[in-house]
Amino acid sequence: MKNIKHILLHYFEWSRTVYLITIALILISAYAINYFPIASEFKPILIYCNLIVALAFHFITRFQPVQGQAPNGFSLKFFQGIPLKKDEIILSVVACSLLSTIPIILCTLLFSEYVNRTFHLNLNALKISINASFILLLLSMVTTKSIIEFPRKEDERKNPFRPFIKILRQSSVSMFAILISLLLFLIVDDYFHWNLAKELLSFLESLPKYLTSWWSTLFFVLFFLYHFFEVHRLWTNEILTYKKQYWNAKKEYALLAISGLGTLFFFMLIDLSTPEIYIGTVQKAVYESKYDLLKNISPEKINTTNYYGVTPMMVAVGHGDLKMIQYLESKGANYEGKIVNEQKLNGMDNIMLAIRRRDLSVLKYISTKTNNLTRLNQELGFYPIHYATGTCQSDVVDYLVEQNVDVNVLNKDGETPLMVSARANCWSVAVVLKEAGAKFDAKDMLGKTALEKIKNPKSKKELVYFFQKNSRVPASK
Amino acid sequence: MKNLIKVEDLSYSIPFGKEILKDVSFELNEGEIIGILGRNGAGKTTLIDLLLGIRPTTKGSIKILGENPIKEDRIGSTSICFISQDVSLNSSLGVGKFLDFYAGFYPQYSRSEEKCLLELFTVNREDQIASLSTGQQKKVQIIAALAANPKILLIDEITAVLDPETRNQFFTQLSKEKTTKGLSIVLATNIAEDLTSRADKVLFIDNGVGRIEQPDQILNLFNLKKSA
Repeated sequence: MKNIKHILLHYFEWSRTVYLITIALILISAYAINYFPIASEFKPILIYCNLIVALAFHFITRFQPVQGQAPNGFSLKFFQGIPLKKDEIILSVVACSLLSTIPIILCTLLFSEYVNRTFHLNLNALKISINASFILLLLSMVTTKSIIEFPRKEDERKNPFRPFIKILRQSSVSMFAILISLLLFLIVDDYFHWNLAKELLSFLESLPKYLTSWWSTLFFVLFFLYHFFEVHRLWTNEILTYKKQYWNAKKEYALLAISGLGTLFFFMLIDLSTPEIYIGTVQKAVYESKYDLLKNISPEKINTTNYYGVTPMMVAVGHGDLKMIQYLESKGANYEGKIVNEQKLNGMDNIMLAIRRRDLSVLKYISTKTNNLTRLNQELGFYPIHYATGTCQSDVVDYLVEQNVDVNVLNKDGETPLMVSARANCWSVAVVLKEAGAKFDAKDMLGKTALEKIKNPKSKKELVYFFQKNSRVPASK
Repeated sequence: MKNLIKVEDLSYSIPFGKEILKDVSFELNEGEIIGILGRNGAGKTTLIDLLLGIRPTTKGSIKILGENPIKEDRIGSTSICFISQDVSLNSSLGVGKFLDFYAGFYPQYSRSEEKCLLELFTVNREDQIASLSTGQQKKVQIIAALAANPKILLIDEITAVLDPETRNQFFTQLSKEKTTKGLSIVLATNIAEDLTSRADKVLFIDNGVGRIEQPDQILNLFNLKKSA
């Protein structure tokens, strides 16, 4: 323990300045994104830069024994030459690795809301971060241990599983690179408007959902592989030598089986991937699109709510899964219910969730089943049209106008949808509202009109220009 | 004299591979230098690995400070230092930071000796390791190992990268440590001249078999005419 502490303290001392600068940079960026009027085009770039800084910090400063001569690390021979036990080397490497992962986790946590909004996801950043840290930790342990146990790669030459070990060692880096590329592509996608590419790669949108829903299994497989190679190493390397007298194959394989089953049981019970608000057996089955589990569900259970008031139908709507919505409906699910006990989503019903998802086809479908389009949401204090306006969804507003929704209806602050669009600088929605008959002279509780709510004079000019350029016959006519 | 290393009938084979060492036996007493000599690939580094406990022996036994080196919880491990051609240091560190880091693992590390050795080998504590040549980096390792005041020093082919002056200083310092503190040294090398006047005995490894030779006889062990 003393040696691990010694290594950890020195590692922190070596990387202290860069470490604190990296964390400060991420915190300042997160604050700037939330509280300063940064152009929306630059926000992804800022997040992108932060992520690169956090990753660069991790890879440059990480404390890892390396094979042979390497410029930014101690060679394995150095570790073998100092009075350290194998476990101490592994634990200190893992501890330092975790320390250098903190900026990445911080990045994930602080920017998760923005990323969720960009990808239309509802992933729990904290859980994903914990999962990612576990995976990093495990890979770090596997690589360090295998480096320590194979001093000059002689065992590997004789080891029939060498290619798999190699893949396992290298896959951590390549998998990470692929994930980051995907993430960056999805972020910059909004900026460059690669609509064609987006269309072609639309199937990737669901990838994070499937990836996270299989996380526990993935973790189990990695754990199992780790133990398998551990047993295999003992078998190939040491059974023939000094461990022969202590070796007990039955005991080793029994331990492997028990620990494997234990881990499987543990990770099946503790679900680290499903978002917190989807807790519940039925909700989780809907989230993971497991139709076979829902096949024999009773009508009483189909509308069951969890602690957050979330019904299975709300899960399907929240993820824009129209096929699942129709399936649940056939099983007797209704469209009632509102989210409770959840700070950000409190009061959301199915209509609001569909708007939040930005999925017009789902909204169109469920609006035929429920009349909530024209109903004030008491908890939220506004109508669906306010929400669609505030989130700048002109196609949804267009649809609501088609459904004869009142375009001058007031929210709890006495604001019309036009005022909300003015506040959100959303001119495309303002055009739709204007053409649908929105009143420009309506005043809120403070006596301000929609135009008066635009603080920046330049934005007012933009609005006038936008009106001139984009005027058209209202869709409702 | 106190016996520090005892190797008896040591054999080592690469798992499922060829036999590297066959029935090697030797002893090292306090204040002695034993040279390990052999052709390339003879098993010198493997023998050092076995002494460090990195590899398990196939047959025979090793006692280093009375303990089996493969044991994880050895008491004597802080009395053994290792310098090698294969050791590379983190180049982003300064010399001082590396020495501070190294000192933490050895309770008997002496700062005053470190200062003297830095002066002797003309290395600056403030220098960055990245700015040092390979030879200078080895000097830093030598300083760290000698300042740690070990009882046993394992050296694996380090002299080849040192310039003649530094090599001379290095051996002078080793002799001093040997006579004043009773330091025992295992010196694996390809350069026979390094051992002739300095080692007390030489373990010559040929085709895996090790035999003890007198230092003044070792120059005749290599077939230099044939290679010329």
